[in-house]
Amino acid sequence: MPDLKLELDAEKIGAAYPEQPVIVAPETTIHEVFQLLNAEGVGSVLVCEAGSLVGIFTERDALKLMASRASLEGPIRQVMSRSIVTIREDESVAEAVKRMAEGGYRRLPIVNGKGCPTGVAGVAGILHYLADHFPRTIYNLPPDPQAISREREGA
Amino acid sequence: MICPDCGYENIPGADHCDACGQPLAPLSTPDPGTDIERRLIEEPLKDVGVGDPLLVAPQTPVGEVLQKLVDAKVGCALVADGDVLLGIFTERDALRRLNTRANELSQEPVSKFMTEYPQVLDVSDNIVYAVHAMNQGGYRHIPLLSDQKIDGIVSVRDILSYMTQCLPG
Repeated sequence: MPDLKLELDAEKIGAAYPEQPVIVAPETTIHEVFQLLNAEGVGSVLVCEAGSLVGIFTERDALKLMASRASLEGPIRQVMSRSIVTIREDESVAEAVKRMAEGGYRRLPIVNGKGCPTGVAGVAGILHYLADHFPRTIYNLPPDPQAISREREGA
Repeated sequence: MICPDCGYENIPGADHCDACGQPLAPLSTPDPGTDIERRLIEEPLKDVGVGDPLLVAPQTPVGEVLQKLVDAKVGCALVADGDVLLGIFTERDALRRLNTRANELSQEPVSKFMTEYPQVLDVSDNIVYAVHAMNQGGYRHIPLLSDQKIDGIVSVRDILSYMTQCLPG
């Protein structure tokens, strides 16, 4: 059994099942972004201008707009969050976990050396990556934890 | 392994009880290979430090539920009649089922938009079951019950921070 801690430190973030980035321009309307989040089945869109990342808009941001009954007519740049915590392609899974835990983020855009987004790392992907390390434990479970029958079946 | 029905001590890995014929396969949880695996298999979900769920009644207007999710800084609400779970309403449901129509639908009851019969676990179930369900089902939250009544909620983030705390160093 390889040492999990070592692997987390050594393995690049790309191993933790990142989502494909969904990229929009700053002038895209909020309305369009809402529909895009749904159609693409992703939890965030990255806002890019001239190939570099300028903002992120997540489903949490969408929830806040829905709750405040804000108009969805304006461009996404008005409501996107500009302070983006990213992770570089050459950084490790352990680093991503640490950064997510510190900031309470559920996802981190992955960027290459030029600051160009190549993916989005999320908690679900990291959980999947960890589960892969314990295949015997996770995948060999009996289907229902409460399924120990107390009575012998049949006659 | 001890038969839960008659108490007979069987050899490890037996499919059926030698004394009464009771099936024993569900008792065969896999061997833990590492310390973290052992903890996932042996420790119950209540040890993860499960949170208090946000509870809403089924007739609550969905617009109000959205605001409660924002105020409570959580990603899902449990729709409940008293402490009986009826469904779950998550950020994802808001985006999928309300999307750009959140304003016009805000007075509709949350029960119209919730997911009924969500995957649940018991607080006494072991952590590994939550990892499995989240990984396979893609769930981000799993309501926890005890005696069929709501007793907590566990999120992917709770599990992830538990697992990473278990790591050495």
